[in-house]
Amino acid sequence: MSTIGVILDQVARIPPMPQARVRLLFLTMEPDFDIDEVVKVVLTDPGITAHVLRHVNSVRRGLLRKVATVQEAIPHLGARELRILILANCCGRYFRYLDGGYELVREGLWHHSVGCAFASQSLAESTARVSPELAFSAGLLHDLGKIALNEALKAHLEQITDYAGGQSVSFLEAEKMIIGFDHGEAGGILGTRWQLPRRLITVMRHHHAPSAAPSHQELVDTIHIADLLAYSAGVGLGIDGLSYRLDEQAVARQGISEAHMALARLAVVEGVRETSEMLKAG
Amino acid sequence: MPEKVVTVGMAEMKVSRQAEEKLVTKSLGSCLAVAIHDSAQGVAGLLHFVFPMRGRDDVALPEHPTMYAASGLPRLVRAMQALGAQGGSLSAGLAGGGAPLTPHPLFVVGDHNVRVALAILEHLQIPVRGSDIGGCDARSFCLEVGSGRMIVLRPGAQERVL
Repeated sequence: MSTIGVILDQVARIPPMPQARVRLLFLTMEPDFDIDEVVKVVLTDPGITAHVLRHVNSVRRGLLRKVATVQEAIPHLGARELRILILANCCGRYFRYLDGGYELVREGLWHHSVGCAFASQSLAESTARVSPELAFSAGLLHDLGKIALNEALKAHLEQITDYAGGQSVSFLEAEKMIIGFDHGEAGGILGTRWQLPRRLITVMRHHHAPSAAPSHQELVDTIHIADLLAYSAGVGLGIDGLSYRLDEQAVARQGISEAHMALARLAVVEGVRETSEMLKAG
Repeated sequence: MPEKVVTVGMAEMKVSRQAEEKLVTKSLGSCLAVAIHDSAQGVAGLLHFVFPMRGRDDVALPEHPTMYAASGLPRLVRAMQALGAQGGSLSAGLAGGGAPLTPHPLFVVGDHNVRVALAILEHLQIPVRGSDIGGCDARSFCLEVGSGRMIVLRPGAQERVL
């Protein structure tokens, strides 16, 4: 089978994101999402409903009376927490069973994605050029292509790590050279097949080469820088380590400063710590 | 004696004089881990810090001493002294301080972490026995309390003893 055939076959094996959850991705990436509309969709999804209720009734929160419905839970959670819970459920499950390949530790790729989401949100708040809510969603999903490429990576792991082992070839370039495909391309295929929001597909496809993105430049630039920052902060580092290139034009286009970077690095460290329970892969 | 692994998280430190313990920190990118061992007293300490120092005028970084080399390293040494460590027999090892493939002024925090840690160790008169720093690899770092062995692990590479 050709390489593209192998990747398409792998993509087809991954259970697609249910339509209700794709709808929730669309709804929650808007800054002022319609909470009633979101609740309506959540109610059609027993998994998310159960997670929301379990979370709001957790001992740590210390509510005097048990919350029995999602509608009742909303005043206790607020929009921000509800969004994070929904996203953890929509995306987390795909990162749960990687079993080697990119990951050095269990759920490492999910932790990296969460770190990237907080870095993206923080950079977006600093530059005010892209919505922090959209940046968070895009940061969380940017590496979904690695799920599709993981089996191919495992089959060629030694060749790829050897090829990327020096200081002149990035891990992405090694994927392309050895497998014939990189995880950005795989992400583009997966996102299209699942009919994810176009903006998120563009991020998944171009987050390592933002200058080549055909649209949504500010979002792709932001996720590109946040991705490297999350690697640099060491959250969920994988077999690929920090072996990626920075597109300097992305930094210049978005006017990212050292202060923005310091804040985003802090957001990664603190965000991952504060939300680790909430963001457990759903 | 069965060994016991004590995990040191990001912006944390641990000290020990239990010979069977191993202090371990994982997923080091640009963060730096500094291990210190007192060979005479059998006291060990490991710090995994994020930033060289807190002092920036334009960014309000939190008060969290073990997040920074400047406050974390002296604190680590004091905690080891409280367990009986003494100046003359201390030595240190460093791991981490990496950076992405493309050098850029926004990604020099790893270099700064190393530079500041070395300066503080020199000021504290703690000799550095070895280091494994820079580059693109994810690293783990382990300090065996009993033997004082400091071991760096990288994916796909043999372990390196500092």
